[in-house]
Amino acid sequence: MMTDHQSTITATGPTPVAGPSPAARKVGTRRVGDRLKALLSTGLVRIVLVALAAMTIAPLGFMVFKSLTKQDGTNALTFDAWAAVLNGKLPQAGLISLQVSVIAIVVILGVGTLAAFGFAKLSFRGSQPIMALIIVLMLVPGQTFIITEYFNFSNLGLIGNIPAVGVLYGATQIPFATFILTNFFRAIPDELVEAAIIDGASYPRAFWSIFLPLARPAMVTVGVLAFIGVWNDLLIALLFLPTPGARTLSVVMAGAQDTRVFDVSQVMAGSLLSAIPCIIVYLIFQRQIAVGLTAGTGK
Amino acid sequence: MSLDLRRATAGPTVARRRSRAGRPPGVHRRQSVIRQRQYWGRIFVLPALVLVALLIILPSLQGLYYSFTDWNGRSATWVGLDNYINGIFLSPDFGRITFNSLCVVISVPFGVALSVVVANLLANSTWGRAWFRGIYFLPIALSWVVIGITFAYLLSGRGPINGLLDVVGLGLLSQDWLGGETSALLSIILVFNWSYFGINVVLLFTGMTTADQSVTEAARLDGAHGVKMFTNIVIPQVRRYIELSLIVTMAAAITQIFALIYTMTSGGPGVSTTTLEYALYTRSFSLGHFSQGAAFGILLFLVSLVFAVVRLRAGVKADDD
Repeated sequence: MMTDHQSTITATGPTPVAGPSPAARKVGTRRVGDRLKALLSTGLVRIVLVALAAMTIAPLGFMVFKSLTKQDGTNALTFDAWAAVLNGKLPQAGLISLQVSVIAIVVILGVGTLAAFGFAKLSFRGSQPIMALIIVLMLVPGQTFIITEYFNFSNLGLIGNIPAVGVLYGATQIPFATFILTNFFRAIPDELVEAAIIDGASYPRAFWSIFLPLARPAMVTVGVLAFIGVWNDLLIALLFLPTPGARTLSVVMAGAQDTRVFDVSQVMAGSLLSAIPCIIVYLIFQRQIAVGLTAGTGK
Repeated sequence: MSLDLRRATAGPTVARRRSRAGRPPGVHRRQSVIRQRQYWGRIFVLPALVLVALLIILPSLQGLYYSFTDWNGRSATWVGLDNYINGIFLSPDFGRITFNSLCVVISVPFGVALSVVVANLLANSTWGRAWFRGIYFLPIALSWVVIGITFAYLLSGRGPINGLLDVVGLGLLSQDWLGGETSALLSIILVFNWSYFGINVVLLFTGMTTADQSVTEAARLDGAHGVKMFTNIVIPQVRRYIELSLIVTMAAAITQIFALIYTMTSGGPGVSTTTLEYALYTRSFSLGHFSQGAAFGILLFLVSLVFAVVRLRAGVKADDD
């Protein structure tokens, strides 16, 4: 029965469109077939893209959901978790994270732009070996010096000292920042310095009034990457800022994360709270972050 | 030196014209300009050099020294290679720790391969492109701590991932994912690759959209499309970006996975999710074997160095053609 029915459909199919020649008809159906295939493949592509986007965003959506609902099975909307987190020790920890990040960024940009200007525009005897050294230092992972650094800081009584740890964070990122900024300054013509000097400006003046304003895009990239790196770091903060009043957000969250012990809603609200500054920075500076990441391709 | 001279005189043609009339003042001026420039160059570089010397170079050299000693934080006695041989290579858990690190590193090419495919899909479809890029890239703003905390809950015995498996009818698979040795390692690997997936997609997407479009266009006119286009045209074009993705992600697998492990499994159960990097932390700050930790630090540096050499050689090869 079924096969009979199908065969009649295929048999009657072509007869109504008997107008044009068989060759033209063939082309027409192929075009329709191609379009169908194209439609199917774009549909498939879109499904894959959406599914992967869902996988990426799902954990975040889940955090938002958990932090805003009651955990008694009703899933009723409540702001209790957020209230508890905001009245707890997280805002204080956020302030510590902010202090450390700002100090690190100031050190990185201040020291990094100066050095980059020196390397790119004021080459002196020995500047190339020093630049090579800086590049080698980019390869040294923090773990290589973290233990001895810890004892050096400990001997100087600097464990728990927020400015000192901010400077440490800054120092760990100086090689990378100097590398990026030097490449940026190299792309600016030398004549710009020479013209300024001929006009009677001093080198610090040429740096401050001409090159620093020009370097703003590169500085934004370096600064944003530094902020995300420092704000999100755990290892250095865990070791160097262990005192209760000086713990960063990452350290507090990592210590109060076990959902078997702590309230899930509060843990999720706390995680979100610690992530929000970085997410905001990300939403504003998405492009600059991508530029910073591709800086290693040499283009 | 001669190179410096040329660069100093390249700009000021006025000075050169003046120096033809009376040579001494011109030469003097040029030399003083160079001296000035070198002087300020040194001054400008100095702060960076001091900071880096005190906070990176010095402690790294100290770490190298202490890795050859028996050191408890205060006094140290020279023991040669004992930390490396007996402390690391012959320690009972070294095999498992190396295995764990290797597993994470080996998983990276698979993750990057998926990123390449998705980046290509994204590059060929303008539909909602900015939105997708924005969403895929988002995990770069999330810290390992936040990612680790969230996934530790998602993967826990009564967590939503097991709930989802039950709903789909795969309840047999549901388990305390971070409680078993194999499933815990698998979880770490999957979460790590999840975090880097979108970052690599954006990186490779950038490579694909900035690549020379005329090549792709010519290939399309010659009839290349679909898989053929992808393997013969797109992949060679973005080879540099693929290499960058691979190396950046592999380096992160070796030196930046500490916080993820700390928040998800603390290296356990047993040492089943302890990597080289995490072992450095436990040896030093849980067990107090600081010199063994220092030796692990040197080991990590050597591994990073290997990655860097591979990357440099890849770069040189790419420049050849």
